[in-house]
Amino acid sequence: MSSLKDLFITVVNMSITASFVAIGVILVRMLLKKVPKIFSYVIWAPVLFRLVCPFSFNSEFSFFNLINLNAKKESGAYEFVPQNMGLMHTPGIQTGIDSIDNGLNASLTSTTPIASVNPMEIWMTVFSLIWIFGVIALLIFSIVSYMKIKGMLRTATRVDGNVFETDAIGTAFVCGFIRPKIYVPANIEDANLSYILEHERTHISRKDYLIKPIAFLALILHWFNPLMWLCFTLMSRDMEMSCDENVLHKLGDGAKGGYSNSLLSLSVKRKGILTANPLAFGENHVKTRIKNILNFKKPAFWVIVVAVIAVCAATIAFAANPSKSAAYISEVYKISLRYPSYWKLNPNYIERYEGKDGFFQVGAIDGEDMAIDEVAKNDAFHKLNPYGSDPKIINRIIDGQEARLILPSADQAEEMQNQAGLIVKYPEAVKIGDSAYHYFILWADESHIEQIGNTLTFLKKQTGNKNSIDTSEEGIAQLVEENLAIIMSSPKQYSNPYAYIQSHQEEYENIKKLGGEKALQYMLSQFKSGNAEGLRGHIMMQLCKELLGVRNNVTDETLTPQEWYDALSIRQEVKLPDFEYDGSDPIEKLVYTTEIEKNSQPQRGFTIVAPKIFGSYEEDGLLKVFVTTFSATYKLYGNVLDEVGGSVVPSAITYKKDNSGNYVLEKYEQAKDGADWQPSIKKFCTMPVSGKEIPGLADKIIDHYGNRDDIRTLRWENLFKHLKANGIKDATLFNSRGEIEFSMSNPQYVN
Amino acid sequence: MEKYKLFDAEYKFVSIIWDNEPINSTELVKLCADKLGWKKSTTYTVLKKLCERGILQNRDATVTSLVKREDVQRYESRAVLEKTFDGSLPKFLTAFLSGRKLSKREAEELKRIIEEAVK
Repeated sequence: MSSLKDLFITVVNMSITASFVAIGVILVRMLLKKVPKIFSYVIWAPVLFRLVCPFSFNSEFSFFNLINLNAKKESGAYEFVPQNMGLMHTPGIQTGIDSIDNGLNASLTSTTPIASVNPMEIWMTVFSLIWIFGVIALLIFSIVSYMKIKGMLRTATRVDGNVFETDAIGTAFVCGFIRPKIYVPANIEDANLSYILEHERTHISRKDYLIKPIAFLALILHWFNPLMWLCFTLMSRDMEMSCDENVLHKLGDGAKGGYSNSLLSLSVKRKGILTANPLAFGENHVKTRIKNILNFKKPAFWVIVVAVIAVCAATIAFAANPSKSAAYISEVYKISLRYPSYWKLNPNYIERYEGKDGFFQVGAIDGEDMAIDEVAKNDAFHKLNPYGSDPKIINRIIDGQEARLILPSADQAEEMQNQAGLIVKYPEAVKIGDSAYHYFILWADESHIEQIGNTLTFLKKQTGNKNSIDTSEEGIAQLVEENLAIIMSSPKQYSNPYAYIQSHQEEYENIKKLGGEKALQYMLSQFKSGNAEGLRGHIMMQLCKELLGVRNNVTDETLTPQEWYDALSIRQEVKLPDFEYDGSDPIEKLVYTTEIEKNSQPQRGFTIVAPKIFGSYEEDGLLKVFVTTFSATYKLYGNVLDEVGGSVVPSAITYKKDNSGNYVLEKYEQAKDGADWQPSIKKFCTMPVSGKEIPGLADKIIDHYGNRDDIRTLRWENLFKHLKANGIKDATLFNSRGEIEFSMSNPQYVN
Repeated sequence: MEKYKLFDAEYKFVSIIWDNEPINSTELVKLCADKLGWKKSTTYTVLKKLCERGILQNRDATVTSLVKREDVQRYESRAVLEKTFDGSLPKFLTAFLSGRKLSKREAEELKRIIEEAVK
């Protein structure tokens, strides 16, 4: 039952979205009066798309950017009626138009505390039953009337090819879906017949006989929306009129008189027929069609060009959802940029956000004393061919700085996911760790790189009111309360909590980013003291869930805020040491110890390393070991693992033998980021003392980097060993899609 | 003698029999498939109906007519009484005309418009 209700709510949401598009289409259609009707016909496509597909792609160019709908939008679907409305404290619907909402929502009463289900919930169930009943009835009616027609047509006799005649019908039409046939009334004059056949053949060649039933099925799904019935009628008329025009196009202007006379003579009532149909209203459609035929002129070329462009633009604008962007700010790289808000951080990389339609990643390039063109070339023509064999480099200016855009060539490897690069010179070199970097690099898929690149700005020094945040208990309380008050201030009418968050994303982020753990503690205390009712509770619950992350043990998304808090038992962090090597290989032992030391981040979690050793070379008391290390840092909350960081970096580690025969770390060299990556590996692949190049070693390291499944697997094995050694019996790691990536109970590690 | 009234399709069917009688029913099915585009079952259904009305007779798979051409009249059209074109037509079919028919006055006005336009 609840799934039927969900389906109904999805359909209602599609219906409302489609209604906005339909109104837009009707307006655009008015402007298209003078252009061929085929354009008016085609422009209905986005309405149909909206009626059957709850999701859409995002574009800056969306028509919805104009009307700024105030509805929650997740993963590309509009939600005017929230799916979990029944469980909301004050239920509400948003059509995106205030006056309608006020009327609608005035009829929705608040939930009484005693009833567990609000009145709207019951009504929704009733409505969804009425809806499905209507859909089934209309489907049955359509099928029955189709069967009836089929029966009547059985004795139709063939005139020629796929043309049949029968005295059982009053007008010509196309029937059949796989091998459509044209049926005409018997004894039609030959002159009229030739026009009718030309008209119907056009329907068949344009597949109208399939488009109309598909549109009708969509109409059945949305039978409760009167606007859609209007759309269907208008669309059918546009279809007929563009078909008429096509006939004239084929037969030439001379056919105008004959064709319109045919239409006329076939439409006149015959003798002995009753008075006018009382249901008839407005101008007869035949009249409109005849006028359209008489006015038909072969359109000028420029009219067609303008109409094609206008219709394409309108179609995209109506079909696309507005793109919402989120801010990415990095204090490390000293930049900020905006990216599609539905992209999520990929924990397998240092800084990479991705979605189904693209990704971006940031990095920095040393590039001291190098011109930007040289830096760009180094990256573009990297030995691994990350952009294919023939990338293009284009000059750009980003945030007032010199920049180079690198676009991939057609032969780019598929796993690069259309990666393009944008290198921008830092206004002043940025210090990350111990090194200074002179260039910033943004990687993104080709279709997003310019869009994201244009939003790139460099952070000015000391902007931070970040340091001026009062972190005392009173200060945090003030921060949370002030921002909450702003979030709750609008939209004015009853609405769903997401609408409030959507309209105040900055304040929402302030609580999360500036308040952090302390804000979480404060809000949990508010739940504890019962000061978390209604909208306030909903917004605080959302904040707490995001701040808690994997520590939140409650997966039921339908609970009210207080129920959620009551069910919450925060997964406590289980502190674990870093990984410890327990094997006997002396070289491995050295490498593990060094890599753990270099990658350890005790304040963020415990670190596991998985090194692949390519070789060790000893020369005059110096031992140099070449490894590529997979390192990952985790936190364990209860029995759930959280991956907080990780990297895969090739390095060369040099040890010196001391007097007592022990090896002591002498030098640690790592591959550099970006364009310097390959040269830096080549540079360290030398003998420890003589500095002679070790032949083939660098290539071996570089090749392995491209296929490093061995160390990924070793990482899982080491993680498993480490957890077991620390007495952990149950631990699971989920990836960003919620799938199990690692589980102690199942040593068949995914990946 | 009273005249028999036949629908368009029935008339065409009986005409085939007048032209070819006596005719074997298997032969008739072939002929109807060729000339009328009918399926075997359609041919047999119509044949059976006309036999029941005493217009045809089918004995030992041989079909003959019982009435003469002069005694048969065609119905004008079964669709004549439809007020609209799509009286019973499913909405999702692409019909040449739909909606209500034109009144005499509307028709005359349109006729004038057409004449003016194509003069």
